[in-house]
Amino acid sequence: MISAVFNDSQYQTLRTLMDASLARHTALSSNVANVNTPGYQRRDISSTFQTELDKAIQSGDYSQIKSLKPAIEVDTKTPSLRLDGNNVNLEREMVEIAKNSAQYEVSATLLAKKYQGLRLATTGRG
Amino acid sequence: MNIGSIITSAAQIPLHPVEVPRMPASQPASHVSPGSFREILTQSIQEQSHVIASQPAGAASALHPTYQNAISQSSNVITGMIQDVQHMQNRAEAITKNVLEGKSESLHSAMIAMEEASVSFQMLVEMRNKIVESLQEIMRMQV
Amino acid sequence: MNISYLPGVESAGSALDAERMRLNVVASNLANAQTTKSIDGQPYRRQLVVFESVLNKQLDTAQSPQTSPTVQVKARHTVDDKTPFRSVHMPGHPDADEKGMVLMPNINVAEEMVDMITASRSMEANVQVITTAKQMMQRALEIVKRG
Repeated sequence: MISAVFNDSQYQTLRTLMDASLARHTALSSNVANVNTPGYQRRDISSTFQTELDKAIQSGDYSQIKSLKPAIEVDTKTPSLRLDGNNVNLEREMVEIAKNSAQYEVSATLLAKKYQGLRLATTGRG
Repeated sequence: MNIGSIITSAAQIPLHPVEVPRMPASQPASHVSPGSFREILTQSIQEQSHVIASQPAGAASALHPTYQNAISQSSNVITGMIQDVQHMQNRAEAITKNVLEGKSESLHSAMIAMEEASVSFQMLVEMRNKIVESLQEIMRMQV
Repeated sequence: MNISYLPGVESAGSALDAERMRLNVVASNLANAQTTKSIDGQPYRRQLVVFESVLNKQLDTAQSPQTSPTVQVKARHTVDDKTPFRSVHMPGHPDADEKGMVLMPNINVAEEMVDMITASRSMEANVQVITTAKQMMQRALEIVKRG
């Protein structure tokens, strides 16, 4: 099976990280958009997904990593520091957006390198 | 291009009955490194062609069942691989279509699917080239 | 024709609209800080914008199975600020009453400036969100780059 070449835990991790970063960017964007909306609760990647991902990466099992789908949840744990009940901290959101996009971009670059490597290995040239 | 027919036409070479080493069965769904993929393929083709070439020329004309068997087996493996690649290309097309129509926001999924299909196709083409090379060598030895 | 592959753009766009509306209201408030007689004969009453979040769920999930829900924001309407008007002692003013007191609009310039700064800060942040999304997508396209 040719597609077995992609059954690599590192490769699948990169894919899942990209899926997660993409979902996270939409959540964080919603937060920034609603920074001045009274009563708005911020959204982020669900903590259960985070722990599942860590566990799967530890296990090194590619199929487990591959099957993970990112989930977004409403973050009720972060306290609100404002009168109107809004718990969005603009600076924090911008920092998280920067970190998140870095993760997305790094994963993309590593995936590109992986494909280049595969081509080199199979054909002896790029 | 029907790889199966290239292989079966090579079976027109007359042979003594002989035990031909089997092509490795399809890899189970575990990891195959790309370097080893190439080695496995090259090695198995070389083994088969050496055995075939070591037979004295001008043997009984009938196509030997063992040889036929080995050829059809390789043909099955390769057909399986072709289907795999075809499936990946269809998948890449479907995902890209979804993205362009606005049904999916995952641009990277489309890119990944396209690259996977492209790399797999390249591997398939390399495989065909290797087979054709080896068969040409076999035919040269027989003459 | 809505592109889906630029994530977060919808919510950011909605925020830019909403904050823009707020800036308009602030401008109107500042312009009328001294208006003692508006259309209804009363002094100008400070206007406020009410923001509301709108959950953008995909109506038919079979149609759009792979898009994340976004929360957009809408400036629903403007409301009057119910703070009472200020009474200022200005005897020479045409609208002064017998005691020389004039009812002035309930506008505090400092507050309006703060609102203006908050709005523009939010707009900058939302623009940054869109820029980042574009950057991410460009990187995604480079997955297929060779060499």
